[in-house]
Amino acid sequence: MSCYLIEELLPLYIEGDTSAGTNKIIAEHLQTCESCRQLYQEMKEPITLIQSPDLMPYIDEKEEKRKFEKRYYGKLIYRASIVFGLGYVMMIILYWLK
Amino acid sequence: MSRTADQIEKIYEEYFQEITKYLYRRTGNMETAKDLAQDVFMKALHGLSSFKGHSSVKTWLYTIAYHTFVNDYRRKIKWTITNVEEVDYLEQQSFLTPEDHIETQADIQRLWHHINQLKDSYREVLILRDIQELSYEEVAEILNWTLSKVKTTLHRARLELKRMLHCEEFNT
Repeated sequence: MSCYLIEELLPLYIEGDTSAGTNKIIAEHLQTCESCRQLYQEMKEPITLIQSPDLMPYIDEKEEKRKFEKRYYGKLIYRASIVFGLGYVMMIILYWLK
Repeated sequence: MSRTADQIEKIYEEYFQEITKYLYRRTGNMETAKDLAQDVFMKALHGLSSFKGHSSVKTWLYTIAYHTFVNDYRRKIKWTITNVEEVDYLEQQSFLTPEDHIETQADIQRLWHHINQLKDSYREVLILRDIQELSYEEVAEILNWTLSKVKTTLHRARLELKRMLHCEEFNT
């Protein structure tokens, strides 16, 4: 198997998603090919920095919830006033047509 | 309150922090993240009646958040170029000692500087899996990718990030 194919398969090999037959071919290739072996080691190595705490600014949940409710109810009131306005106009039209 | 409002309130309380954090990690700006998170929950509110439960509420919200971010990003990219130096990843309040804090801040800043330089698909999958800690299946569902595409892209993203970090260590 060519190095290109091995490189393509390495992520799935590490995840244990390759078949037993493919595993055997990859393992044999890794024993003989220095560059693929290095790539394999590099891929397996964890990124230690990613386990560090995250720098997350404070989220004021109460304030955000208040904003969300304002937007939600604002939309409801807006819709209700449109329905009311349309109803009112219809009534005027019907009154005129009478 | 109506049933829908009750449901969305429950969902909001459970996921608002998580979705905002995800959007912050994608945008690099807390104000934008909070605004987008509000949009996500408004969209969720409107779509709640059509939510069939084929996926979990969590992946459903992440999918909305992902599309909201992508649309906002596409709209903004026409007008601005994001400067990776301007992202405000340094504003956290911390309980570490000042020395540790400075060191951690520098490390985290370094990490995010490189994450922001990754290509978009790499950054997306890395944030969802390694930072937001979602499962492969959840990531696949959110991005509408196959499981093997998620795994392959993730390993390539990690590899590139490691190389960037090593390269920097080597140069300093």
